[in-house]
Amino acid sequence: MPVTPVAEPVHEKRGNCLWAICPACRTRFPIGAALAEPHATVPAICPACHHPFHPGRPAREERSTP
Amino acid sequence: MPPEPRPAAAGAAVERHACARPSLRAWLAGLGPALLQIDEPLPVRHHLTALQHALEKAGRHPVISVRHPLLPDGRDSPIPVLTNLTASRSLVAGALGLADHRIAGEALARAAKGGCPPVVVDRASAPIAEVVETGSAIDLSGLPATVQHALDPGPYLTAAHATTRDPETGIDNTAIQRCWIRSPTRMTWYPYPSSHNARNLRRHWDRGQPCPVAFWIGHHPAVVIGAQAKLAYPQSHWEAAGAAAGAPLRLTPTFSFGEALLVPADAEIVIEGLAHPHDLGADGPFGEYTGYMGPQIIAPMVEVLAITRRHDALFHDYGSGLADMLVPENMAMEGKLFALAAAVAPSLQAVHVPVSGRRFHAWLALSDPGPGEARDALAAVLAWRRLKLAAAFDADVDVFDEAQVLWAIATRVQWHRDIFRLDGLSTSTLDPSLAAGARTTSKVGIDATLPLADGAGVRPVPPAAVSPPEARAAADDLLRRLRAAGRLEGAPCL
Repeated sequence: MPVTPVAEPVHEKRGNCLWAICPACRTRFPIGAALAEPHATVPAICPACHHPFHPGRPAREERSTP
Repeated sequence: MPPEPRPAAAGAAVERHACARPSLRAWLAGLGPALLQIDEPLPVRHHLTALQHALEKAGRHPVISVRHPLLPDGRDSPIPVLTNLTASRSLVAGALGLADHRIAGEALARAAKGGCPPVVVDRASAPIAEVVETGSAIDLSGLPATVQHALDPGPYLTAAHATTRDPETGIDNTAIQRCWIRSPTRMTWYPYPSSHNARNLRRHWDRGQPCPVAFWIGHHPAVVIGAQAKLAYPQSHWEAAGAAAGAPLRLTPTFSFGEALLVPADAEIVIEGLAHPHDLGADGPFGEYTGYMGPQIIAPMVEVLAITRRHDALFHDYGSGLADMLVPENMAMEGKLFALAAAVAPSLQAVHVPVSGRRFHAWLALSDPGPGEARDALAAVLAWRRLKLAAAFDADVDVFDEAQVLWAIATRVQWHRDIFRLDGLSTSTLDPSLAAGARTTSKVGIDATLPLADGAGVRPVPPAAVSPPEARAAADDLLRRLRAAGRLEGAPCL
C-alpha cells in the first residue's frame, strides 16, 4: 500500500505519551519517538484501518516525495 | 491482621519430577478439572482474550483449550488454541515438580545454573518435523493467533520463542518475543533493543548478513519457564530449560538452517525465517505486561522460509498483561532475584514478584537478618532492570499474601528511617510513568524488617495478636466440616 501524503504532521505529545492520529480514519494511537522523526523512513501504520503514513514528516517534505 | 504460621520456604523439599520426554500434550493429559475445554466456535479476535479477562476478574485461572478457533477472516482453524497455560502459580509449581509455589525462586535460581545439557536428535525422530510447509504452502494467517486488545493492529504470536545464534561464538539464545502477522509469509519481530536476541541480530547485520531466526511455539510449561531463565550473554537457555523440566531437552536441527540453529524437537510449531539487514516495519501498538498499550515502534521484519509442526499441532497463546503471561516471567525473575539477593544476604528465605506489581515489585523474606543485611539484599535486587520497588520482611510475614505484606508495611515502617531511593538506574521503557524519552528510573527499597533483638534476644515490638495453636487447629477442623456441608457457599466476601 503506498504511503499517503499528509497535509501536516499528525502527531502530538500529551504528558508522557506521544500520539499519532491516522489521517484516514482519525484513530489516535501511541507511538515511539522514532516514528515521529521528520526523516523516519518507516511509516506508521494505523492499527484500525492499516493506513500507512508518516506522523512526523512536515507537509512540504511529504509533498516532495515522488 | 496478624500473620498465620506458614511453611518454611527455603530448605523445603523440592520434589523433582522425572518426565523423560516433557511435552505440552503430555502435561495437558494430566490436568483434569484444571483444563477448561471450550467446544463451541470462539473467535480469536478479541473474544478469547476477553474470556481470559473475565475469568481473571472472577479469580479463576484454568487452562483454556479452544477446540474450534475462528480466524479473523472467518475461517475455522483446524489447530486448537491453548491459553492460560501458566496463569496459576500452583499449577505452574506442579509443572516444575515443586510441592509449593513459594519455593519457585530458589528452585529456578538453581535451574538457571544449568547442569542438564540438551540432547540432539535427528529430524526423523522429532515430532516438530512431522509436517513441513514451504513456498506457497506457507500461511501464517492460517495460525489461530489472537488479536487481544482494541488497539492491537492484528494477530500476534505471543508465545513464540525467538531463537537466534551469536555469529561470533555460535552460542544460541531463546526468548519470548512478539510478532505481528502481516501477511502469509511476513511478520514483524520485536526483540527489545537490550535483549540478547537483538544483540545477535545486530551482529549479523553488522556483517551485512540476514539473521536466521526460528520461533518455537508450545511445550511443557517447565520447559517454557526454564527457557526464560535470566542468563548472561552469550549463554544458551537449553540447559536451564532441561534443569527446570527435570530431563535433558531434546533438540533437533531446523529445516532451513540445519544444525546451525536448533529447536526443541517436542515443541508444537516452529516458524523459520530470515531477518534481512535493515528490513524494518511498524509494530504495535500492543497491550503490554504493564496493563497499558505499548507504543507503535520500529521492528525487524521476518521473511518466513518454512513452518514445521506436528500433524495435530496445538497453538499456544499468552494473554498479554494477564496472570497467564506474568506468572511464568515473574517466577523466572524470582529465580534471578533470589540469586542476586542470596549472594549478599544469607538469611534470604523467599522472593515473590507479585502479579499485582506487574514486573516492577518484589517482596523478600529474610530470617533474622543481621545489621544492614536487609538493605544489602534490597540494593542487590534493585539493580535488576525491571524492578522499581523492593521490600524486605521478616520470615513471619508470608510475602505471597499481599494482605500480610501491606499489614507489615503499615505497622513496621517509619518512612524517615526505613526507605532509601536510588536514582538513575536502568529500567523498562514500557513503564508508562516515565517521562517521554527517559531511559532511567528512580527505585525505592523498603526495609520492613523488625528492629534487631536486644541483648536478651527479644525484639522491641509487641507480640502479634494470634489465636493459640489449639484454637486455630479446632477452627480449621470446623471450617473443613462447614465447607464439606456446603455451609460456606453463601458467606459474603470482604
